[in-house]
Amino acid sequence: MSPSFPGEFEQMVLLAILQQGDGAFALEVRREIEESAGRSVSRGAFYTTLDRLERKGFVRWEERMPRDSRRTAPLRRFEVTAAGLEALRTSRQALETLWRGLDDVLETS
Amino acid sequence: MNPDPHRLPSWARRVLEWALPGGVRGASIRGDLGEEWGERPPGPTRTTWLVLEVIRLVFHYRIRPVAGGGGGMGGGTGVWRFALRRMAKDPGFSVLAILTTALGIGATVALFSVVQAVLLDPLPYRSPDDLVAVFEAHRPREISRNVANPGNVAAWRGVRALEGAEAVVLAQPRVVSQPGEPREVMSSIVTPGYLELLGVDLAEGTGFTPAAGAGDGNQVVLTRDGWNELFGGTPGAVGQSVVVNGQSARVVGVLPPTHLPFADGALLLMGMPLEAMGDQTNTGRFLNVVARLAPGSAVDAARLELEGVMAGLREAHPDFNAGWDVEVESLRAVVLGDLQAPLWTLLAAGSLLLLVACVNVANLTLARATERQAEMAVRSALGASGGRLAGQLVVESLLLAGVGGVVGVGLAWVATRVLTPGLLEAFALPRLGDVGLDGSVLAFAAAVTTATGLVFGLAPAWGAVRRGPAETLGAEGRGPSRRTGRLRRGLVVAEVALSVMLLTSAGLLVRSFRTLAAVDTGFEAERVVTGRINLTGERYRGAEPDLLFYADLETRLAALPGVEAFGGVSFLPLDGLGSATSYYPADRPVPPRDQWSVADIRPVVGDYFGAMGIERVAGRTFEATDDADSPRVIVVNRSLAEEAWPGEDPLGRPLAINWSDLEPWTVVGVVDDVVHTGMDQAPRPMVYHTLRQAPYFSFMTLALRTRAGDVAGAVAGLRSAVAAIDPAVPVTRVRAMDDLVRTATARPRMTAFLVTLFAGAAAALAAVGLYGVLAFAVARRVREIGVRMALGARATDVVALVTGQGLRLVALGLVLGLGGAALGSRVFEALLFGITAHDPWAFAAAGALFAVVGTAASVIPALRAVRILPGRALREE
Repeated sequence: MSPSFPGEFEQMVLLAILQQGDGAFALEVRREIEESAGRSVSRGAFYTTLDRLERKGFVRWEERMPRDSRRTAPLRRFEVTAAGLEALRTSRQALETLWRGLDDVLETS
Repeated sequence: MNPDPHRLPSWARRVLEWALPGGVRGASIRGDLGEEWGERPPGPTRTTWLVLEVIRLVFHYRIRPVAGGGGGMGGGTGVWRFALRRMAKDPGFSVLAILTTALGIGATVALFSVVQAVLLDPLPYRSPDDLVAVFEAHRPREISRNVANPGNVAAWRGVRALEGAEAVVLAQPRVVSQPGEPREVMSSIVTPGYLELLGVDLAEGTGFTPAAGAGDGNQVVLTRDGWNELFGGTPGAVGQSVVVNGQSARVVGVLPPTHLPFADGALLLMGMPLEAMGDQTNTGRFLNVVARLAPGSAVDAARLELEGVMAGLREAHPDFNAGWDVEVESLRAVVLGDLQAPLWTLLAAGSLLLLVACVNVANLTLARATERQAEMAVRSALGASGGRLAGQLVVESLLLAGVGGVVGVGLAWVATRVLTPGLLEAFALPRLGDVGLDGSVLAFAAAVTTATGLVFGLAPAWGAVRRGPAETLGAEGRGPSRRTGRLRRGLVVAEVALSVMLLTSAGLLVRSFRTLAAVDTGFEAERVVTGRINLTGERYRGAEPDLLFYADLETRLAALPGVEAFGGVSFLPLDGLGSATSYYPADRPVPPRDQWSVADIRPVVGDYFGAMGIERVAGRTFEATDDADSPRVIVVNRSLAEEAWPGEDPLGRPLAINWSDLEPWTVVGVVDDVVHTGMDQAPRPMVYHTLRQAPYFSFMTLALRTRAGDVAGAVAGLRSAVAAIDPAVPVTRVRAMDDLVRTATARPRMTAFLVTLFAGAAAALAAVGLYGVLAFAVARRVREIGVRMALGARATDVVALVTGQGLRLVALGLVLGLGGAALGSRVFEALLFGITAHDPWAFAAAGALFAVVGTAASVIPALRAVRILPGRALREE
């Protein structure tokens, strides 16, 4: 697999999973993105992106028992894989390289 | 509290189980959605949110992949954005399609919300399926669903198949003199266990004690309306006392807003034990009975057991019970009874309109697909698969349908609000308070919308799949393929047929309504105003004060210049209530008890027949000299005279009436028949007597015939005359007799009106569809027509050519539509009065109407075709 950069939304999902740490359940991850990005996230697009990240090998998940005894449906806890971390790192480096020296230009606008 | 607040409603779970991926993946998505559902406050906002989320998930997981999400078209939302762009590019088409869809969806959803609230939701009682209504019935006299005697009901209570049986007396006006001013309030007497049997919980208070109305003192339970009326809806009503017909009673409970079987319109319920209501020896039949089946018992078992008990009761009280039997029906059938047919008919009519709308939009889409053949062909040549193109078309249709659906739900929302008062009045709907766009109605709307989009999107999509690029590109410039043309013509025929079916239904209902409205009521309602008087309390103890009151009132009203005639009767025609008893001609041998006939019986005061315009057929009516000291006389109606003394002169004959005694009354006059129980009911035998000779009614409905139709003046005169005699007597339920007649025909009028509305809309859509197809055909044949005209074809030939093409479609649609109507109209035979379901006039009118509309829709494009100049037609090449 060539060094594929994760897309913007994919990056946001990966970062949100990392932010949530041990508690990276789908519901919380989606909320984290909505809160920090300040925009609503389509439910379908979100779950499809998780599936895509899984296919790319950037995340993995495990089934957990519900914390709330009243919830009977299973929960999925997500984790960013080493490949996912690597992709994020590569992407960040690339962006930082591109950002270099542009602070003046961008801050005035 | 719900034990599992995260549990989604079953419709959502079912839809999602189908739409989402299987296994843990899908289950966890459902769980996440459920968790958010559980966190939101319950209510319509939450339901709307869920409906939208479910729709979006369905689109995301089910429709987008089919429509070609991912790659190519930009994937994801790209296909939708593209559809949106297409929609904006052709606003005329889009608006037309959206409005058409919205019309159909709006009509269907609005009616579904009514049907769901009234017919589909379970009755609002505990285990409502176990509730039955028990009646008495007299088969030899063809009397069914009759009220029951308290002694008989007491015996029914011992039956093993019943867990309990409680009784209700239909609501009657009583005067409440505390709290507040004296006023008439509708109230029902119920046995103390009535509310408990239904399983209706009180909003406040503990309810009747078992000896309410007897050892435990008088007790009343207020309905929500009664609480508002008497206590202004303020807390603390429980424990207060109210004075009903001069008797003090304690408020022991307040009900939530709900429907109570057999107590429609009651503002307060008065508890009275069955034992205190009398038995076979001292009272008649006046109880409605609600019973609960014992666990595991069936209606048939209860009926069998009750029939056994009733056989014993016939033996024990032969005088009273001879010929009487029991009838057991599910409470649901009794409460909803005659609402089922009209409501289902309306929903069916709304659905037919939706179908016509779908076909119409499909046709529009097909026409447009033809215009877009080049685009499709290019995309196909560039590698888009047939499936992808079809998917795109389906997405476009779904988008149009979706917008149409949203607009339609808005229309339905407005419609339920605008129509609710009319429906409430027309149908006397028992539970209309619940009608609204709740979750299941919205889910229904979403399902209908999706189905609509698929129905009108699939036809063109199918066309796109079947055509290869070569075929399409090769055909360019020469218009649509033969196949598409055939499909469009087929759709038009379907549209015409469906609208003719609707028009025929409307024709039948309108004819039936007109027949009903033209029924001779036997009285002249114009210029008559009515109002009710109830003389209760200390002042009117005994008969004398009542008679003095009416005599005084008559003198005072006679002095009014605007009043032509004045009279009063216990129960007005068409006002719902009445009293009846059995009788036999006393100049013949006394027939066995079970062969006595039944007659309605009414006391009258003043010149009742003159005021109501009821025609005297023979003899005289009542005179001032007919009083307590003179011989007892009666006036009978034509039906009774014919039944009792067929072919003979009834005047001077004796009639024994099973009322207070069996001493015969003498017939002194015969008047015309009057419809009493309903416009569609045949008049029944009727006995009138003057209140002066049998003064046992405390309330009277007064009727004033005004001279110049000055209703306001007459009402003011009546009120001031009553106030001058006794200011404490209220005049209530002031209504024009005209209104009573209108109310009696309100239901068929409403049904006919709505179906006509739908039929008109459907016919208009069909005409537009027909016009569209023909106009399109003309446009396609511009060159041919131009050449024909250049070669000397006359304008009439061209008009005949195009019109003929249209008329062939109309004719085919007419045949199919009238045939379909002939097969289908039996369904609502129960709604028709005075005509059959195959009424030739209705069929002819519907056929003729659409023939005219269809001809117009065909002639216009033909005339436009003629205007094509040969030059222009040839230039277009």
